[in-house]
Amino acid sequence: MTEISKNTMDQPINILIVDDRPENLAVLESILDDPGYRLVRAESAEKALLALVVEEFALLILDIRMPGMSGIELAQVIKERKKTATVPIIFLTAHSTGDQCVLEGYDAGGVDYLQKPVHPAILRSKVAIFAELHRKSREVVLANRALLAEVIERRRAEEQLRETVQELEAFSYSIAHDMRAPLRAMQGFSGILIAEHAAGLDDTGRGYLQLIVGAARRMDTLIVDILNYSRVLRSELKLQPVNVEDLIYEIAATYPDLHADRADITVASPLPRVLANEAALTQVVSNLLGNGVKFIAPGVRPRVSVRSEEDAGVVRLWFEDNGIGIPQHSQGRLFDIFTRLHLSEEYEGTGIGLAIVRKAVERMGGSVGVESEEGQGSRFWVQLQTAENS
Amino acid sequence: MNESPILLVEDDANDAFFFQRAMKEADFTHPLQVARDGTEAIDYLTGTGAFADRAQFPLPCLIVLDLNLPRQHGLEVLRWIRGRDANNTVPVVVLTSSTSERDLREAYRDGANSYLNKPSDPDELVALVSALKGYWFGLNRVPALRGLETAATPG
Repeated sequence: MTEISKNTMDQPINILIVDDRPENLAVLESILDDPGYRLVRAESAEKALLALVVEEFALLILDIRMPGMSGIELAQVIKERKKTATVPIIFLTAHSTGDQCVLEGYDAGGVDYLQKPVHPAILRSKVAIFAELHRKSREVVLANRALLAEVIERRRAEEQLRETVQELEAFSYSIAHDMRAPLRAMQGFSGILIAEHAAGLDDTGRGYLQLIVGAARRMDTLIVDILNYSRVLRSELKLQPVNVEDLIYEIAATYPDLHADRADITVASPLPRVLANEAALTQVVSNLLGNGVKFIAPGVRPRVSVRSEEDAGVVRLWFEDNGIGIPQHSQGRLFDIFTRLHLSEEYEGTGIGLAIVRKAVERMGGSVGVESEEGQGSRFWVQLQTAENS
Repeated sequence: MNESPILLVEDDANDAFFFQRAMKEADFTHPLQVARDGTEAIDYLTGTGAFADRAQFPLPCLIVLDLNLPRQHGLEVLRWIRGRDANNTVPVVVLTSSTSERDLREAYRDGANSYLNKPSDPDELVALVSALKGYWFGLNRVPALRGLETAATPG
């Protein structure tokens, strides 16, 4: 804005002075001698029209009595033209004539009149007011133009950003796939080695082979988890009523670790329906249930119970387990990506599961949290909007 | 007259090897031909160049198609097959590592008969190949291929 003001202030303001008598024009020029003004002479209405075509004027000072087209007729033409309709006009009228009455008939703004002989101070102050008005409106026009340019620029930047995001998606997608191909080869060949050639190896050799298989499997899990995480980050999550209870039973049926022969998954029925994206909520619930049965002390049968609290259109789902618990000092970063609290020899994991949980829930307009103490089990909660009224 | 083979379109030599091996493990003795990219698959199906000898390279009764192929993408091959005048009904099973919702949707839209993800575990691959055998060569029926003296019944 400061730059615009500076530019407009630097430019002199164009004023068209129209009078058939050169001596009157000279008088006007001497009164309005100011570096801020650029005066353009016209000795007839026709010449004034020509000048108006060639350039823009902030103000017209117009003698009414002219041979040929009169000042009144000229003003009419100017006001009828769209391009010049808003140019203010100061008429110079002779004393004691009926011209004033005619002029008062104009209801268009920006028309003023002065009686001859012109009083220099009054003319100067009137011109100064119109000049200031012009400067301000020119500033507004320029500011508008700058704003428009900024809007266009921003749109272009957004478009570029969208393109970059798309490219990045394609990039991560192909990377993940290209990474999985050699990994499949590692898993496949070491699997074949174990199945067909294990006899030729001693225990140490077979142990190494198992470590290769385990490492390849971990990397595969890691890539799948990263793909899932990026999908949660970018995909559009449309919300609709979801029956959480059904979802839990379906998930429990899908994962062997959640089957009744390995763990107890109980639901305090009925759970209210929530407003969620079913695919995203499936990931959230399966990650929470999976964690609930995974982080368990040796020899203990895992147990996860799910219950709900409802209050003012909000549902809080609690997942309570009998696991090893989470020490207070680790809870702060628990939902950050790649946060792992255990060695992979103790509990396998990529540190992405709870990051997916938080990101997915937040993108569905909800929140997550945990209450836990070491050795006391954990109580994870997910808060979403209720779907009962929708 | 040779038996109508399965055509595996797979650019990754390891994956092709695993598929072949899984067939053996699953007692799936059907002949297998491998095309290493989309263009080669189309050459095979049109009997072009190295594949001119139909006795040696009979038309397949099932195509197992990878998607991320060099030269011509798997979906292009699929569209080409379905857009032909003859032999456009051959069953195509997509076997890919892609879990992309878009690939899945486009594959079915373009006429895939099935969409399977490549398992990374060798045992799972054997189970998959076993299921292919049971379904496509045990239960499923397809129209006869044209351009063959006798209609080949798979299995």
